[in-house]
Amino acid sequence: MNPGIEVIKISGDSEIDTTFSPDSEQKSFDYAAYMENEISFTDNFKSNAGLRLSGFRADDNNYFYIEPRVSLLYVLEKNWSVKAAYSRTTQFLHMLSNSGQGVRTDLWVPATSKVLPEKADQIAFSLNASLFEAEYDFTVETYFKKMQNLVEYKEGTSFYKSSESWQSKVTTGEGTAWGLEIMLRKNKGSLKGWLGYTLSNSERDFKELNRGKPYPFIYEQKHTINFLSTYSYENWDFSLSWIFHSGLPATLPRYKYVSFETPETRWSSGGIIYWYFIFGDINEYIESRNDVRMSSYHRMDASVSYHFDFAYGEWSLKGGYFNLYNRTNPYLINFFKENDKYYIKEIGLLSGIPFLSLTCKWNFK
Amino acid sequence: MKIYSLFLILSIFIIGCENSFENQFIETENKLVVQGIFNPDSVWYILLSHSLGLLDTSEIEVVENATVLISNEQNKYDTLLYKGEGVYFNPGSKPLINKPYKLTVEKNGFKSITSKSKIPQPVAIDSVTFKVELINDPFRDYVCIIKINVYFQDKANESNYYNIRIADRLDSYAEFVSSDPVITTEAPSNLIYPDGLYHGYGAIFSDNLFNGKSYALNLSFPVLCYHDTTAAVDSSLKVILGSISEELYRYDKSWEGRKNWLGQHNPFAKPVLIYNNIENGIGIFAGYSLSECEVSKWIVR
Repeated sequence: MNPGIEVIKISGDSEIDTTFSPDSEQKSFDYAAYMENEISFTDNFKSNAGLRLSGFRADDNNYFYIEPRVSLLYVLEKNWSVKAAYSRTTQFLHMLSNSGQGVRTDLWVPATSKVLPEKADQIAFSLNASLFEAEYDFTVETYFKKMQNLVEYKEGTSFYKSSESWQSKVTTGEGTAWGLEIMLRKNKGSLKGWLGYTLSNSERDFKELNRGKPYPFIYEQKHTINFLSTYSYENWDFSLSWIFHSGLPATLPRYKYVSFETPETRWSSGGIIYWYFIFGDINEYIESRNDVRMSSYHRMDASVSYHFDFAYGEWSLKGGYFNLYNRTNPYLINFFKENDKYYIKEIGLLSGIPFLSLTCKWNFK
Repeated sequence: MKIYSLFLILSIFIIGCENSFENQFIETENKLVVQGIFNPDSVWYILLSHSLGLLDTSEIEVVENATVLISNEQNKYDTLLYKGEGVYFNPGSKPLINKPYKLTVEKNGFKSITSKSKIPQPVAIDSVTFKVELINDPFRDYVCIIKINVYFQDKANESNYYNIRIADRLDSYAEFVSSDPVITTEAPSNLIYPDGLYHGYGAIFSDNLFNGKSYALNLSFPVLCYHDTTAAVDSSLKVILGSISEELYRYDKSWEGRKNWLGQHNPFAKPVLIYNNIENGIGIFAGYSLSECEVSKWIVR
């Protein structure tokens, strides 16, 4: 059995929000007690169950939550096992993300009397294998998560240019996320490494946003691939890695159309009365929040390390190159209109960068 | 070596399948765009055009010779005639109050679109009271303020939506000022001036603060009065209270929000999405009705 207690107090001018919000004086008191126990039902069937009691006091409001969690592990054969887990978690800090055309800024704001703490329920299943005398590990895991009391900026607002409290600029809603993760890892030999793939889907559903329809979370990466390999030969280590993820969502208009001048005009002709509108300006039309995808992100990094002993220390000289094939990955979108023509450009900041490092570890024993 | 081969094949495949970013803005399916705001005093009158992909440089044109149908709950169809310049109408047919209508538009090359709405019951103006005040401000000494209270009864147990406008003697909508919380709590920040008052040519509001009650909406209207209130008393105006459908309320609110957002020039602010109740298309199909009260030489008619 493993019990414990946590207490966190935040008071005064927290760095969380002193820059942008006039109501920066936030006092909070966060406390929790937890207990967990591992039970073996049989040699093949084990469980880990726990309970966390967490509380939060913000201004004059007290919140108290019970967070149960349980995981079940069943060993199928010698090297194969399946695992199922459920957990409920509560979070007293909200991430308030902002993204107009790709520039992402995140603020962390506390729960208050108006903005309730976030709650999440997650279930996960996994299949694990240790193959070829533990030379390889293989894992497949799937998860589903339901979140409540998430916060987002209301349409037309941001942290910037306002004397209003952040609380009046946000709205609350729900979110769901699900995904599949596959991982193959080589643990032994001169050549080690791993290859991982993740398929993920993360949606937000806010009554006041996106005309009340669900939309992708701004950090949703549908496909992610991570690859890392290292090859060791005598004093040398050679490393190669590659990362890929699909483009992040952004909110941009994809259509233009002619809107209508309001208010209406009343007109009578031949005894017939018309109340009519006339065509107005050309406007952009956003069909849905975060429905545009920036280009995908990928890069390959390579490095070589040489290890040697010198002056009572273990030295490593490492050189390499980030972004081996100089991919200009997108950072933000520049969207503008000039002479009635629209322009949309992705802007990347850095491409390839070489690096060199020397590290030393002294052992004074 | 097998793992390296797999990785190489996989990476070539993914890079090869990468979409061009700009294609998302060019390869869009053009949609029908509808303006179908209707009231019981007018015959059916609908404007039809179409959208283009944002980077498309061709001209946006009106949609001619489409099939535009209005059906009621008995599925009785009313076909609108094409009048030219994107206008579809029926000279012999007016929408009725409280009847649900469905709009269907079909045109080759576009997805068929549908939408539903109805005209809410007009809300009568029970009375209008007023008071004329001369302003003693040295910079504004030619101005009188006419303080108006518009009394009306909100229908209980349902959400109702309104707009309020003031028309002058030339039937032009006049700018008015209001400190009424019903208006100021819902107005976008660009229409609330530093004096804390709402300034605008028309205000949209819901019955959130007075559901089911009789309400006196207060408005102020400036007129020229040349150091005494005689001229102001000679003024005439018309108070127009609109009972608007939820669709029209949301559409107008989204336009207010969008104008406010554009006016901020704030690159970090989340864009405001314009309300749309056209299935497979863009635009608005929504009903409203009006009640009017004319105030002439400060005799309420």
